[in-house]
Amino acid sequence: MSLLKISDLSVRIGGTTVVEEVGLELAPGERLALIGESGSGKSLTALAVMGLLPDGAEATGSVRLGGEQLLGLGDRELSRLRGERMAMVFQEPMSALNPLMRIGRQLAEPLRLHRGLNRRQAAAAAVELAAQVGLPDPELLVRSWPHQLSGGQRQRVGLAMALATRPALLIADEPTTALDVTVQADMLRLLDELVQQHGTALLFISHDLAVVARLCPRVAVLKDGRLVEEGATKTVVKTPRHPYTQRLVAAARATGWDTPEVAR
Amino acid sequence: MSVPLALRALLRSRNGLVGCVLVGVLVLSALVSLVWTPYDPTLVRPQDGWLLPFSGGHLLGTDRLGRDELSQLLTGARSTLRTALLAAAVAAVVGLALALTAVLLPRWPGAAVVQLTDVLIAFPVLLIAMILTAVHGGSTWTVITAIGVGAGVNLARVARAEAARVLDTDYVLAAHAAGSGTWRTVRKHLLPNIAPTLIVQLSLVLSVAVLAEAALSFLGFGTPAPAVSWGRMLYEQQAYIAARPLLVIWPGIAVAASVLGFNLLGDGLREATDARLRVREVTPV
Repeated sequence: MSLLKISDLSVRIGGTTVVEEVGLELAPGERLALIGESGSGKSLTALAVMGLLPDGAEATGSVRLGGEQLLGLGDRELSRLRGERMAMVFQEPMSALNPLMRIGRQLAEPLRLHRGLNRRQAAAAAVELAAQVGLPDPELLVRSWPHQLSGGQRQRVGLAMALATRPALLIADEPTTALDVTVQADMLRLLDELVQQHGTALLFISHDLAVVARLCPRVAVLKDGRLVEEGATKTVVKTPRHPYTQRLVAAARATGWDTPEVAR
Repeated sequence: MSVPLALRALLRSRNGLVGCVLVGVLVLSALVSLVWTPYDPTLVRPQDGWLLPFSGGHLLGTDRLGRDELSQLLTGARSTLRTALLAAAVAAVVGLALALTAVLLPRWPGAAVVQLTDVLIAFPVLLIAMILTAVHGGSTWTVITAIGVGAGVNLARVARAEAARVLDTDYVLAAHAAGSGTWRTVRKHLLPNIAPTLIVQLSLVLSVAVLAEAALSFLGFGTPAPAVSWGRMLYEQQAYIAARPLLVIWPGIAVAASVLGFNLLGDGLREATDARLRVREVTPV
């Protein structure tokens, strides 16, 4: 049975349809990349799954997580699922952390919300989480403020937060786009490792085919809110059918990636 | 940023320091007047009228009715400070309530709250106070309510813009994605992040309140006699300004210094809480 089943998902903002009849399926522990250019509706698809669409955006169709229909659920029910069954890592590490809350408290926030940990247990769990994502000096780090961390470190905090409750589904919305190239590679390796370890299903959103090819065996291509191609990354890279996908592949090759190193 | 650190940053700026001193003098005068004044500020002794400073045991002299000027100033500080603080408290409650309902309610009810706020802003504080006084009679509470509501709607506009900005940030989205409910998000993420702006605004509300209280008692809409206030002192002495200018100058200075004090304190607080001027703690990593 599939963990996440999106069918006929459309998102409308003020009369304009920005995501149109998208259908995706994700088995437990499976990885799927959703790629497309900016404005193609990748992020809105992710936010629709999380039930976090901005004011004025309306989603129709069906999104099922473990058989439970998410669209139309109340805020209270969604809050119970968010951070517990499904979690998200965001694109901008610089702004995804509350500047007035110490790292440790933010790290343990999902655990306090969903596991009912008290302050003490949460503080201990935060140190553990920080160590898990390879942050240096976790004991000291949990007591620091977000502005004292580098972008890469903050993104690790974001990842640790998302995976704190061992959710069944992790949505990563361009988690490496805002990072330096060298840090990007580390981050991808870490993501790969942790998702593997926890058996988390991954929906990886990106505009970069070269990045996703290493991580996800399956890829779906979104263009102007429509799904134009979906299949094994290997096949899509070798024989892209849709003209847009062909351009994506060409672009990835042009940036010095000529021997595709494709995930299993 | 921790509180002691913010205080240190506040005292380091010249504005903040001067503001703290002026407000400190006001607070100290009010506190002293609670336990001691040289004379009873309302004691009328016509035989001691019009005494000059440093005469007859009166440091700042007496007015027409022989009331001690210094005692009146000290007691006036108390009513000024009390009115200003309570009005600021009312303003904070009104402003926060309006701002939060405006940003948290769904679309049209939220917009309605914004419109209501904008309409209320159009009424000057003094006008609201005079209307309330005309209806309910003059009392300290009428003045506090009027100033508090008047300043509160102005505060609501600033607070709403700031709250909308914070609600739009990625960390609020991330908090929701982690399963935080609306009220928890408001408590843990929204309020702490709009607090610096609110505190600065509230110190400015205090200065407006001092001025408004003085103006209202000057116009005869304040706390009725025999209560002592700086505005009333100005009102009572204005007819004799040519004969005894000092009796008008003292309460005038008191009002001006208090308003300046709260304004400078606000400026200092803004500088102290400005992220770009923040003192960094030692980076652990």
